[in-house]
Amino acid sequence: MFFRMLRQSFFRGWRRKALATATIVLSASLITALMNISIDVGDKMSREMKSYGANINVVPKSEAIPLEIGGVDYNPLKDRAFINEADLPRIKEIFWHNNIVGFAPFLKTGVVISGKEKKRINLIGTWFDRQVPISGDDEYRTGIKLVSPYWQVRGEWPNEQGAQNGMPGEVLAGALLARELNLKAGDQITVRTGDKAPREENFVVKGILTTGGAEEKALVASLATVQRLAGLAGKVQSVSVSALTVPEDRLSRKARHSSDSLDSAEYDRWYCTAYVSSVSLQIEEAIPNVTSRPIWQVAAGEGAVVNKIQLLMIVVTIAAFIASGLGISSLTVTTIMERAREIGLMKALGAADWEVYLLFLSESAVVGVVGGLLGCVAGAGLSQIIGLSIFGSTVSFSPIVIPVNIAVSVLIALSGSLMPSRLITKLYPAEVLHGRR
Amino acid sequence: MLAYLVNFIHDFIPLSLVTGMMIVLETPDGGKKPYRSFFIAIVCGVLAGCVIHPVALRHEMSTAARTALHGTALAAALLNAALIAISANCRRGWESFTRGAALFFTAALATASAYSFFVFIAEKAITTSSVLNTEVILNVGGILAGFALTSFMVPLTVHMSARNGRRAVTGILLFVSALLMSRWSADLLLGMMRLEMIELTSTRVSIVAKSGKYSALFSYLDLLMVALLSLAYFRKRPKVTAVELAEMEPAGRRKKCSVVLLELRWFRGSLASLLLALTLLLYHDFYASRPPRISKPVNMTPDANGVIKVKIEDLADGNLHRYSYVTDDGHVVRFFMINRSGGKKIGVVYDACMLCGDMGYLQENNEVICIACNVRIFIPSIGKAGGCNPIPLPHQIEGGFVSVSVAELDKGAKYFSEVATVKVKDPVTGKEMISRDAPQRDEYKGRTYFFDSAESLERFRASPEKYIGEKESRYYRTEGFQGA
Repeated sequence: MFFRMLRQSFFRGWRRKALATATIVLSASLITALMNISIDVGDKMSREMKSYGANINVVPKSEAIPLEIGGVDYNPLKDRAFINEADLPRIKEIFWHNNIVGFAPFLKTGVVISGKEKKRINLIGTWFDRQVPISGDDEYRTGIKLVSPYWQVRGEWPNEQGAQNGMPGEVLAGALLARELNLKAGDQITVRTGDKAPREENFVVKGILTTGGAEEKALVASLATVQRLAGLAGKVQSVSVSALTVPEDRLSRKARHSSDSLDSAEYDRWYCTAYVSSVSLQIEEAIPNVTSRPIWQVAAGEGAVVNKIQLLMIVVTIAAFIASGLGISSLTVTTIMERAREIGLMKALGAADWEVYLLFLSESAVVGVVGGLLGCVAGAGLSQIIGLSIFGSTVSFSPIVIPVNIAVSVLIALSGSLMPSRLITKLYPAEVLHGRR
Repeated sequence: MLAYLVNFIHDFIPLSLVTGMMIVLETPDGGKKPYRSFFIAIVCGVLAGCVIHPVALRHEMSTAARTALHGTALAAALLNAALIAISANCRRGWESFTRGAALFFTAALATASAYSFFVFIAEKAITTSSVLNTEVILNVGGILAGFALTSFMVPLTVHMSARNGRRAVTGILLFVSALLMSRWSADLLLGMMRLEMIELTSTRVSIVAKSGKYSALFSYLDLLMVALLSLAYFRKRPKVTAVELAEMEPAGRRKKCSVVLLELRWFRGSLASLLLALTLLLYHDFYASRPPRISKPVNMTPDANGVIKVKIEDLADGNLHRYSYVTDDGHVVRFFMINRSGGKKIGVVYDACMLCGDMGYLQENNEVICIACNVRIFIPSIGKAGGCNPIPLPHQIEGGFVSVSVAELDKGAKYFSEVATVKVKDPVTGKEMISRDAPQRDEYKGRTYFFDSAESLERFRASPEKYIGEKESRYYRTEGFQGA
C-alpha cells in the first residue's frame, strides 16, 4: 500500500520534482568531479605506499642541497660531485642486501651530434646488464634492464663494453630525439663533447628507446663509454636502486617525520624491517657522502597539488550542499501547501504523523537517488575536463564515488525537506478539508 | 572495511543490548519510555571515551586510564545489578536510585566501548595517504554501517523486551552484565599487575589469559540473548483466529490485521539483522582475519646413512617445496627447497628466519613472503644468509638428488618451537617411554633428554658425555648465522 501511494504521488507533481532533481544533479556533479579527482590521486598514492617494491635514488650529498632560487639552480657543486663506481657493490653488502634486486648507475654529459650542431643533447651512460662480482655471488648481474623493466627498446640493446677492436660504440636513441633528428636503428653518428677540449667518438644506433621519462630526449650508451668521453673515469652521478620492501605503516611514517622521535625499541624494529626508508638509510651508511631518497612519484607530483586544493574541494562541496538543500526546502514547502487537503484526508483516515512524514521523505529520497545517479554521469565528464587542465591527463573513474555521491544526494534531499515537513503536524484535518487553510 | 565494521559490532553490541533492556525496565507502568535520558548518557559516555583515549596516549598513561576506566565500569555494573536485585521485590521508593544507577552504568559502558574502539582505530591506520582515497571511504563506511546496525539493535531490543516478562528481561540483563563484569575484572586485574599494585602470580595471569580467550565469544552470546528475546516475543505475539476476525466489525478487523502484520514485521526484522550480524562476525573472525598459514610440510624419513634425498626433477616447477623432519627428542624441523633461478640452482634452507623466528615462509603467486614481517624475499637470493632470508641449510647436490644430512637438520632444531610426541629412551637406563609422559627431562647442548626417574637425571647431570658421547651443540638463534 505504501509503495503504491509513493508511486502515485511521485508521478503527480513531476514538474516540480524535475526541478528538484535538476538542483541535486548540479551539486552532485560538482561533488562527483572534485571527489573523483581527489580519489584517483589518493588511490594512486596509497597503492604506491602499499607496494612491495620501490626505487631509491642515490645522489652525492652536495647534489641534494637545495639552492634553487626562482627556478634557477645556483648550487656551485651541481654536476661536479660524484660517486665512485668502485663503491657501488657495497650496496649489496648492507643488512638488507638480499632485498636489493638490482642497481644501475647514471652519468650524464652534454654532447652534440656532428652535422646537427645546433642541438645540445644529453648522453647518458649506464649499465644495461652487467656482471658485478659481489661478496658471496660472483655471477651477480645487474643493470637498467633489471631496475627499470619498463624501458622498451625497438631494435637491440647495445653491448656493455663500448667501442673495441675498431668497431664503433653502440647507443640507444630516445624516441623523441629519434623522431626529431630522424634517427633509426643502424644509423652511424659521430658525437662530440661540447667543452673546450672536444673529444669525438663514432657510434651506431642499435635501438630506439621508450621510457616515458627524460631519457626519451637523450642518447643512452654504456657507462664506460660516457666516462671516457667526459673524462670522468670511475665516476657516476647517481644510482637508481630497486629494492623489495615492506609497505609503509605507522612506524615507518613516524620514522619519516623524524627518526629521532623513535624510542630505541622502535628504532631497532624500524632498522630491522625492510621499509624503504630504512633500506635508504643503510645505503647512506654504506657509501660515503651520498644521500638516498625513495622515489614517491605520485606523492611528489599530483599528490602535492591535490593536497593543497583538498580544503577548497571541501568548502565547495559544503557550499553546494547548502545551496541545493535550500532549493529543495522551498520546493517542499510549496508541495505540502498544495497537497494540504490530501494530507488532511490521510490523517482523517487514521494515518499517524510519522506515516505522512515517511511518504514525503521517501519521495525526497527517491529524488535524491535519481539526482545523484545523473550527477555521477555529469560529474565524470566534468572531472575529465578538470583533470586535463590541471594534470594534463585524463582521470580514471573510481566506482566508490557512486555510492558516496548517492548517499550525499539523498542526504541533501532529506535535510532540505526535513524542516518543511514539520508543517505536516500543524495541519488539522478538519481545517484543511473545510478549506480554511 | 570489514575489520572496522566487525570491531564496531564487537565493541558496541553489549551497549545496545543493555540500553534496550534497561529502557524497558526503567519504563514506569503505562508511562513514557525514557529514550532521551539514556541517549544523553550514551552520548556523554562516548564523548568521554573519545577524550580519554588521546589524552591518556599523550601522557603515556594508557594502562592507568584503562584500569581506572574498567574499575569504574565494574563498580557501576555491580551497583546497577545490586539495585536491580533489591528493587525486584519492592519497587516503590527506589525509582530514582535505580534510574541513576542505570544511567551511570550505561554511560560507563559507553565510555569503555568507545575507548576500546579507539584503541583499535589507533592501532590500524585508517588511511595510508593524506589525500581522500577509496580505502578511507570504505573504512568510514564500515564504521557507519556498524553504527547503523548497533543503533537499530536498541529499538529492536526495546520492542522485543517490552512483550516479555520483567523477570525474564532482568535475568538476561544480569547475565549480560555478568559477562561484562567478568571481562572488566580480568582487565582490572591485569592493569593492577602491570601498575605493580598487586603481585604478579601465575594464577592471576592464567585467569586473565582465559578471560581474554573467551571474551571474544561474548558478542556471540549477546546475539544469542537477542535471539532468545525475539523467539519469546514471537511466542507471545497477539494471535487472532479467522473466526474471531469474521465476527469483528470491518474497522476493528483492519486494525487487528495491521497490528498482527506489524508485529510479524518486527520479528522478521529482528531475525534478519541478527542473521546479518552473525554472518559478518563469523566470516570475519573465522575466515577473513585469520593470518596466512604455511602449506603442510611433507614429512621425510632418512635412509640408512642418515641422509634425506629429494629428486631435483621434483623441484623443476620452481615452487616452494616444504619438508619436515622430526628429531629424536621430538622437535619438528621444517625446511624447504626452491629452484631459485630457473636453472639448476637450488636453494635449500630452514623454514625459519634468523630475525623473525619460525613462522615460516609462504609462496604467493611468484613471490616468497616471510609471514612474520611481510617482506618479499628476492627469490634468487634464497640460500644466502642475511636480512630476512631463510636460514641456509648445508646440503650436497649430486646425481640428480639434493641430499641433506640428518645431523645438520638436528643442529637446527632449536630454530623451531613445534614439538611432537615421540618415543624416547632414557640415556642412562635405556628404558623406552613416550616423551610427553616422561617424569624428568633436561636440556644439554640444546638437546632435550628424557629420564625415567630423578635418580637417572642426577647421574646424567654428573657426567653427560658418558651417556651420549661427544656431540656438537645445536645452533641457537641468538648466536646468529654460523660462520658468517
